[in-house]
Amino acid sequence: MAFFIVLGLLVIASFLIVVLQRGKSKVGLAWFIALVASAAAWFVLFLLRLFLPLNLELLSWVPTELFQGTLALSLDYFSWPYAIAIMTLCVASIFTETTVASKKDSSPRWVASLTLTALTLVSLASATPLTLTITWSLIDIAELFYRLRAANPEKDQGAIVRIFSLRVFGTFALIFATAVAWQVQPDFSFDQIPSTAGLFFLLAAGLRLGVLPVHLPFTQGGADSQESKFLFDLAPVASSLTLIARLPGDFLTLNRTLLIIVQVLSAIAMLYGAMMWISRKTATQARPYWIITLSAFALQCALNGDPGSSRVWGLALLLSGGLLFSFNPPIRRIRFLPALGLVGLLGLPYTLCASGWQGVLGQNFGIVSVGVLISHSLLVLGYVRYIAEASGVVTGLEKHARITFPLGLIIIFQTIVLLGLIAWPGVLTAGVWWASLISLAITVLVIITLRVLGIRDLQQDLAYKLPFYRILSPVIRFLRVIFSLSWLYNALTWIYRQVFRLENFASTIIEGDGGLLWSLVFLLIILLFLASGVKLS
Amino acid sequence: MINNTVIIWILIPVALSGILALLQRFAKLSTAIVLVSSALLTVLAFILPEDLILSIGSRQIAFTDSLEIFGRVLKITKANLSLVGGIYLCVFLWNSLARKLETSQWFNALSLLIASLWISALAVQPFLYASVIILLVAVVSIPLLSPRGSRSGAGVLRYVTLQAIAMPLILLSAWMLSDIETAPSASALILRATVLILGGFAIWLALFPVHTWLPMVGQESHPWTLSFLLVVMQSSLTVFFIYFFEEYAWLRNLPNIWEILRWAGIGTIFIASLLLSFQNQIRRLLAYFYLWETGYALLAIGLAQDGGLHYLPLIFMPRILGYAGLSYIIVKLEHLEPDFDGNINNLKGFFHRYPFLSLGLISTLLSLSGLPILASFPAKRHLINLLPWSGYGMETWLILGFVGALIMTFRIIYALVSPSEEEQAIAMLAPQKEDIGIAVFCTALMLLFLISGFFPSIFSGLFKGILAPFENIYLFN
Amino acid sequence: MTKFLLTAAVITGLLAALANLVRRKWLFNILALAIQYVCIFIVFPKTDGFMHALIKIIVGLMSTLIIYLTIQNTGAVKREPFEFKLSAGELFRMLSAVFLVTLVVLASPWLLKEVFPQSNIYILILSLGLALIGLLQLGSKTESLYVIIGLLTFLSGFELLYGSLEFSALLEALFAIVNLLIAIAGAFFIVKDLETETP
Repeated sequence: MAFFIVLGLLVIASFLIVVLQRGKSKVGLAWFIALVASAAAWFVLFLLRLFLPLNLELLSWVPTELFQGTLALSLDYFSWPYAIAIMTLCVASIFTETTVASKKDSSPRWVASLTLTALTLVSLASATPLTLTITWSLIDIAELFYRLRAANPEKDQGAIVRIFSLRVFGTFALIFATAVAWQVQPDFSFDQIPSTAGLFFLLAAGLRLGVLPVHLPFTQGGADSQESKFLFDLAPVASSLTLIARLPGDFLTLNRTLLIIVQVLSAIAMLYGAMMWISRKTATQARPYWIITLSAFALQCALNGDPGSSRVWGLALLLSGGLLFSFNPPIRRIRFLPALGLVGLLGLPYTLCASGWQGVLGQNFGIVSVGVLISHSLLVLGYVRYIAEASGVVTGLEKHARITFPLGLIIIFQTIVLLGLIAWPGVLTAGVWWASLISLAITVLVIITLRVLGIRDLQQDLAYKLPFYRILSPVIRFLRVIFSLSWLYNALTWIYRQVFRLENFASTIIEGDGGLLWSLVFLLIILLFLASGVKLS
Repeated sequence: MINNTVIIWILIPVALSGILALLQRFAKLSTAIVLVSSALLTVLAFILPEDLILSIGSRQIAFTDSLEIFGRVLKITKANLSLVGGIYLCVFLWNSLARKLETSQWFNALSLLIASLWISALAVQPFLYASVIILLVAVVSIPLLSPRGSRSGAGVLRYVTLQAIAMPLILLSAWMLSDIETAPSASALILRATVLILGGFAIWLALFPVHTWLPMVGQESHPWTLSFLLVVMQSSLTVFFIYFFEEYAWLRNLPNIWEILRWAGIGTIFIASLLLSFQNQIRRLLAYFYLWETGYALLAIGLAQDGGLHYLPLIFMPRILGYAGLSYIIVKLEHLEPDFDGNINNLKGFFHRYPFLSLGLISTLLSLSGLPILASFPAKRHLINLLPWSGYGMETWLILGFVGALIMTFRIIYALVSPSEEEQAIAMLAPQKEDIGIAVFCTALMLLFLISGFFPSIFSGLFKGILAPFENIYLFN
Repeated sequence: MTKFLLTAAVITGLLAALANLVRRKWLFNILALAIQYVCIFIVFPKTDGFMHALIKIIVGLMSTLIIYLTIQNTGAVKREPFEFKLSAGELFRMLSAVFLVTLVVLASPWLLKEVFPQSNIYILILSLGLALIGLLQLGSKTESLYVIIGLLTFLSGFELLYGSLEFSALLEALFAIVNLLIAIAGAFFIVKDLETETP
């Protein structure tokens, strides 16, 4: 019931703001309502930690023997940490977005943030695949219409439709994964996913996250993008991550070939994402790759038979990422605040990510484990780089924003710390301490090397100051093309065009003058073929 | 005399359609008559109790359920009334907007006649005689599909031709079946009859490769008229097809027959999806979505032994909503944009100019594609879950079947929201005049999609009786 | 005598259908259609009396008349001088039809024995021949008048076959309605096309 209070607070607040803004615009009051409601919801949600697990049945499709479909929510140690992370990002976004409040009325964005948060909370608390399918679609459609309403008609539309279509494909993948599991047990909840279907659920989550196969289901902010839309990119990810965390651990019993394909694709996404993350111009541009890389980490955990560990990487994605992406404008004087986000990323013993190393590295240290360590180092390096490049000045902020902006960042950091302590039983652990040390060592080594070579700006200095850059550059470009799978997408586009031509040709013939006879001849052939299939006793 | 189900649901509508044909020039009067009569026929079909005795106050009216004509019997029992009610509901819904959408002036009369002909096709005994009535439906549809003022299209002629070719196949199978009943071991006869029946139904259901009339008629004919004909035809034909399996034990006990049906369904879904994904003409979408839906209906029949037939009552209302929505929006777009040539790529900028129609179109396509929270999803989910996901055969094709339909939907969304090259000016992107009727229709449509998607039992409960006549089909010797 | 009459009717009927398939001269086509129905009347089984055969010829000739009167009144299809020389398309259609009829003649004894023992060889050859030539016409022509003639030919062939297998008054009534409606549809198409041609 208390969970409905959280949802109610968010929905009522957004409704109130909409009503309020119908008349004379009262931006201050709207912001205050959004802040109070989200903070109250955050507080109530935190209290719910004491009552886990919570199960709520919403609706059962009748007749049950026909539909076998239950809409239910469940707040447990898998969904609650993500719920808190999303709620924190919502509060933080309302705090930090005041920096741009003076330019135009931000209240529609607050309404969208509150609504999206409410929908995401329902989505990640989904107890059954049917509930998750429905909430995914709800989020996608709501987001589509919101983005289309807000988008610049000249350039954004294509990206919005692309994102929407990829998410819908992910939703359908979930429907098919559910069907596979249905054969073993109809109308199951997420804690009963049969191991035979686990991999298919992972594929669904991977598709939605942009990992399987690697693609960008998120917006890429322009270099000059001032709008902070991080919540809109990060929130839809949360429910997919929750799904991964809930998967059964015994994947290895399944189709070995498929498992290897998924593992390779996931590793490619991880390496490619990390490479792209460090090499983008701004953090906003690099955001999709941050999501892909850490999602791939979460996927690796599941593939290694420890899906529970994926939670820490998911939380790092949301919270450390949220901290960095909400640092907009990047003000040099307070750059120590987003730097605190490294606590949630480095994976040092007794921090949030410490318990995730075992899952992502697996039982046996292999080639993928090396890839994980390299990717992790690249993530940390990129994180440090984007903070180090902060060049804004505090005078650029509104007066009130000089308090609220840092406060938003601090809220995220303190959630990282809190979750590192209480997210679920056993979260506070030393973990695989040497893994974090190796990653840290690689990071430090690279930083020292760059300093020695005199490379201060990766975008500009690399070409001049890195030895053998001319040899390395085409190699990196080649790897980038291979890992991005653009060749695969180009090949598929080519095949689509050829089939399109063939279809046009066939249609012209079959709808033309002699088409009827062609149709009948084809039908006769098919019938004869089928007749041979009807074996008579 | 009049309290006979055959007279009420067949002969009276036929007579009424005759009167309406005379009144075709009086648009309002003719529409009022057809609306009132179809509404009454719909309501009566749903409220008539099991024992066919209607109590009004202290009065009781007992209905008889059969009538003899030319030595043969027409029979409409309570078990048939769900479908009968559904068909007249379509007559009511389509006629309510027909004149506003400038369909043929014969629409009122012929829609009623076509509905009654379909019902007589389902009521005639022996039921195989229905094949001639189905040909009759095709011939009667000609003035609707190819109204005066337009050149006679090749599609309509091909439609009638194919229906004429299907009829002999079914009638000959009927004649052969009389021998099979007496000689059950006559395997050659069984094989011939099976091939004839499957061939006849392949043509009736417009399966690949005899589907070509569908896109041709879609291109030539008024979308509102076509959607009516298709929705009534699809519902009636699928039920008629099940009658064969209900009536003939030898047919349902043929080895591999269910698997063949499942594959036919999957194949049809895949081909329709493939054709959909490559389509550029918006008018043809209706035709290919019809084919797509036929594939699901076949798959449902193929899965009858596992409960697949429940798909039919589940999809009845979503299908009506989907076809009605799609055809209404196409007609309206063509009215509002006389220069629009029907090419999907030329829908650019429409989202900003016609927001209601665009949102309606997007939600209709998503609903037809089976997106969760929208109308078709519960039915599609029911079938997907019934499919044996043991290997990677049927399910892979089914997944590809979804992909094509979704690609089409995304292509349309992309076209709708993209700005047109010559209309970059902000003034041109401003919303155009969409009348209150469009706003009401599209809003109601989207609400109904959502209601059907969230609470599937509301409408499926209404049509669950469609399966009432079938008991034997679940039995296997 | 009966055999000679039946053979002549079969040959004439098939030639009439062949003429409809090959040539596109309206008066010639209408005449050939009428001859087809007369031949069907001759071959139609009369074990239950003349009534059924009579229905067939009346309906058939009525259908022909509807099309004829429509063409006559609208002047839709112009009279053109008759030429004996065949074009390539006409020759192709003729050869295809001859091939099909040959196949029918060759297969008929087997079909009579194995599939339609209730029928007779004359009925079988004429009915299947008409149905196949009709089908060929439906598949090779798109002008509405010739499609309608093709449909009527195809249906008449089938009705002849079915008449030899089974009789049902309801079915006969339905066949009659269908034939007449198809003829009316043909008339409708002719008028409609003429309307759209003349501004």
